[in-house]
Amino acid sequence: MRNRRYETVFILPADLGEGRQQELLDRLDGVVDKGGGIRIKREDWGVRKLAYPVKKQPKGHYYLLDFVGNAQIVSELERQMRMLENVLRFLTVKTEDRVDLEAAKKEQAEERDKAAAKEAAAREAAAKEAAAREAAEQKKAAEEAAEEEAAASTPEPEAVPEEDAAPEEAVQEEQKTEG
Amino acid sequence: MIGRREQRRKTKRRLYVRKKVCRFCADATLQINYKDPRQLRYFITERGKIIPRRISGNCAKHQRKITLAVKRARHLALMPYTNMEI
Ligand SMILES: [Zn+2]
Repeated sequence: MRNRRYETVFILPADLGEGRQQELLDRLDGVVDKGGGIRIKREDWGVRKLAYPVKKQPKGHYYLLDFVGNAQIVSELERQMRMLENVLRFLTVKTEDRVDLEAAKKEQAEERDKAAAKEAAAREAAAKEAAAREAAEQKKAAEEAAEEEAAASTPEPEAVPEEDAAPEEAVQEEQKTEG
Repeated sequence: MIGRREQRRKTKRRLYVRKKVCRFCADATLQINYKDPRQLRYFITERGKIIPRRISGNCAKHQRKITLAVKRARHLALMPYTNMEI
């Protein structure tokens, strides 16, 4: 059977648990894999407001599956999605009539690298943020400790008020001369 | 008399007719995409109905593409079928 490139957009309920969601994603991936297709990428569009309620849901989590495969994969995918209560909507569109399998595999590898790089970057950013947060907390703790220490030690009084008083007097005098 | 009136109406109507060029023919880089409801919103009325090409100015080929894209977007709840609140 001839291979073509397709994209399937499907919507899962926004309030589906993460585990259940992953289960469904894996299951649909499995349909493509078992049929000998090439999964090029999956886009996660996130949760969006639906233009009209579907199965009483106001929001949905959108995904797009970009793959190369034959018509049998498409019909099996659609059969499964029709069966699954949790798939609110789905639509498969043919995006390429003729595919170069080698090019498709190359693109798949590139997408995989891209996804891995993105994940690594996200992990690094999270680690950096955590480190920054920890540093800030440590600094705050150190400052608090210093303040406590300062409060405990004998205060250095009088010097400050005196300094403040001098310029104030000068200003008052100036005003007097003006008046 | 009737002839004159007819003529007058024609010239009067012509005042409102502006020559429209299909924007997709004019700019080949513009793509019609069912995943882009922001772009498609331009081709539906406030009620969500598809604007006829005599008004939008699209050529027949691109109007078919718009219609298909809007229908796909509606199916995926990216766009409304109707909007009765407005
Ligand atoms: Zn056109």
